[in-house]
Amino acid sequence: MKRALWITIILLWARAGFGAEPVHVATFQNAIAAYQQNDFGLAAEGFKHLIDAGLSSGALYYDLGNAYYRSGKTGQALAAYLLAMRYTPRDRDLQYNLDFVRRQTKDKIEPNQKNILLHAGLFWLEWLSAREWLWAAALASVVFWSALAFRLWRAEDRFKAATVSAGVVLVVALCGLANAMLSHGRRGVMIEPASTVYSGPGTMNTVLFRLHEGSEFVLRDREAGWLRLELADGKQGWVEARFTSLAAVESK
Amino acid sequence: MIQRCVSVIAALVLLSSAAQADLQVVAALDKDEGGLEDTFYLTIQVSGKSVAQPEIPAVEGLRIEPTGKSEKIQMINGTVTRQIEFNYMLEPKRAGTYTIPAIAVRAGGESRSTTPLTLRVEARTAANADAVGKDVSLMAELSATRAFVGQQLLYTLKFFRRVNTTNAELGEPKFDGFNAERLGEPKSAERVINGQRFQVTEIRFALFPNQPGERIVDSATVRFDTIQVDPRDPFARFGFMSAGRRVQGRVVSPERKVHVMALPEAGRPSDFSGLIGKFQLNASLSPERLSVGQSTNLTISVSGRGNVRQMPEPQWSNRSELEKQFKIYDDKPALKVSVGEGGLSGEKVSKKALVALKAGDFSIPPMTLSYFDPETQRYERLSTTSFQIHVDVASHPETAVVVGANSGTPKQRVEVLGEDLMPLETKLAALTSQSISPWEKAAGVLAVGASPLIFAAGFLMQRGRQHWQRNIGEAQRRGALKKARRALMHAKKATKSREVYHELGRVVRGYLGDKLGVNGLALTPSEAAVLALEHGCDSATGKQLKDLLGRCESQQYGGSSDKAAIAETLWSDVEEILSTLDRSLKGKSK
Repeated sequence: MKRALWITIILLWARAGFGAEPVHVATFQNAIAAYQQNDFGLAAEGFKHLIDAGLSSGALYYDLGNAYYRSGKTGQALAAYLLAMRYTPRDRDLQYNLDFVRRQTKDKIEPNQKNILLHAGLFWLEWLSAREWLWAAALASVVFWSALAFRLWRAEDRFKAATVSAGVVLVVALCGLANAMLSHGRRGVMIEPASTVYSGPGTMNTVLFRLHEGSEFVLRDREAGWLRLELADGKQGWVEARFTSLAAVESK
Repeated sequence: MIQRCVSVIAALVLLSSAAQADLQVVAALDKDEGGLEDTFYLTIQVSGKSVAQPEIPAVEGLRIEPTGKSEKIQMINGTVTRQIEFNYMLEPKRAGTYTIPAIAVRAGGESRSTTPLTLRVEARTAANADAVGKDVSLMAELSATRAFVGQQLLYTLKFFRRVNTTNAELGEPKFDGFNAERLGEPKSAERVINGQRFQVTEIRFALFPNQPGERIVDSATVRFDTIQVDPRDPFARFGFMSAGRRVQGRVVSPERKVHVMALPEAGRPSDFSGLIGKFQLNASLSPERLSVGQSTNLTISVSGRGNVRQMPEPQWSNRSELEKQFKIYDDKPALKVSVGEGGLSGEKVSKKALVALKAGDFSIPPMTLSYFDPETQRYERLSTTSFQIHVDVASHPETAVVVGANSGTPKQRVEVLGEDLMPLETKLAALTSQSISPWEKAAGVLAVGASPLIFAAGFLMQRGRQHWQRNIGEAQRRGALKKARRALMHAKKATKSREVYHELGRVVRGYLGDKLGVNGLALTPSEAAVLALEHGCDSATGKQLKDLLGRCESQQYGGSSDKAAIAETLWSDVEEILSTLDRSLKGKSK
């Protein structure tokens, strides 16, 4: 009985990999073959098809970003890499490609003091994926409350240290999880060669500035096909949603 | 070939043995100058297969007394060598320069003599003269009263004492207006001045005045402890310290003045760097014949006495001309400073590697160094010799690689020729979804949300336990009958009749104790009955209780002809009284 349970768990665990559906495996291999034959558009279609089928992984978004970049879609590539970062934030190849593509963008946006300080203070929020933060929070929560309960019975220093440590980890993990959840879909990238940013949602408003493909922004608001965005240097404005790609799974 | 090697080695061994066997005589003085009050020591070392005592000549004005000898025997390569050190004490009778002539030693048919030694004795110094008549004193001497800026002066502190002192601690002068450097460790010696024997400790400093004008070297201080002995104490005569008293003392040296003069402007060379004293300059070049691409080493040595730490490196007057023929690599100079009788002295050695760039005959121009000599009060200019060097054309041009003292390949920034993406991820693991699945989300939320229940459960359990502990009396009361019945069952197992009565009495008393929260086992039958009446029993039950307990006691301690029958009756009576008491005491004890 126990053996059967273990086999089931292992099979479930490996299902999407070695046990992936043959059609998905074939699509993946065809996309790779297309990429290697320089048919990057077809490769991107293949990777996107797999993602739309529910196989969201950092590696697939990474491959999609590569295929987009080779197709000349720098903005789309950047958006794909940002999505991949949500799953595999410590992947060095991914970080390299992300930096590489960022260097190809046209607009120079210098972060303002506030954003520099925020990034310096909250950089650790990018250490783990949302899934990892969830499990860290779950484990820390169990340890924290258990240690707290033990302290009721035995007020020993080791339980105190365990309680404090687990409490700190729990707070950090909950912050990381909250950030991962709340920032979902709030980061975006311009995907058109050039887009006009207005002071309000509509072309009748004042033109504030122009953004080019690959410029990253944070979504502040949305209204009837228009997005209110904020750049790292603090500039804000409205842009047509069709010119952008948001780093959110739902937008796919 | 092998035979030749063996012969050479054998010859070397024989020569070595012969050398070891030779008679050798060496004489040395502990110091070659001093004051009239000083005692000098002469050591004559005689070594060889057979040794003999030296023949000490008489020296006018010098008293030479033997003080003993020490012997050492060595065996090297089978040859036994003796070495004897003969020690003598020398006491000068007047100031002057003495010459100790060659001292001869004759042994084993051989005769060897030492080299003559010179001893300079000065009249008694002012500091020493001042010490006469005092038990403890601190004197200061300065080697000159007039000096130039940067000139080395010797400042000597002498701590004289005729009595035993301990915990001596020196407070050095401030040396304002001087750069000061302590010269070695303090030296102690014994001196006889005007027939008085003193222990003297000397500490010396090299002082370099750094500004012209009248300068004063502050007083130095020595704090110390002495042991004062009561002369009436009979033990003190025998050196017992028990009668001594520790007394703290302090002596202060006199100030010393020096007139510091500025260095003269007249005749000051352009390359003068502030070096003051007496110095020598030497240089050597090797090899003097080389090929293009090869290097020759130029070694320059500056040595002398004075402000040696400011010794500059000698320079060429026109280095750039020389660099047209040679690439010059400067090595880091090495400075070695030593402390002697005359103060600080030192040697600075600089090395340069000259790599030939062209073929031909060249001249390495002299290097110069200027210093000021305070004795002659003139600037002096030292110069190395000029070296001639012949450079051949490189026989293998490809080997003419210039490698200098700081060898190593020059580094350059890595040039980025292109950039590209990292390759695709092609493993099938890419098809493993990394989204948070619904069951993961549920499990995570459950773990985070429900884990406070762990604490809640623990809290409730603890509260229950505390409650139970607080109400243990109530628990005892509730379980009193049950416990008594269990004890009754246990009492039935008793085999001896006395034990049976004893146990029955204990059961009833224990029940009363648990039920009423008292120590029931200590109750007498009357007390038990009164207690039961106080807690709501009727008088019949109280009487019955008293009677029962009385019967148990009488059967336990008294005698009975039919114990088995009585015990059987008591069993049923005990069960009955327990039931009756439990009913009547129930309401009252809450």
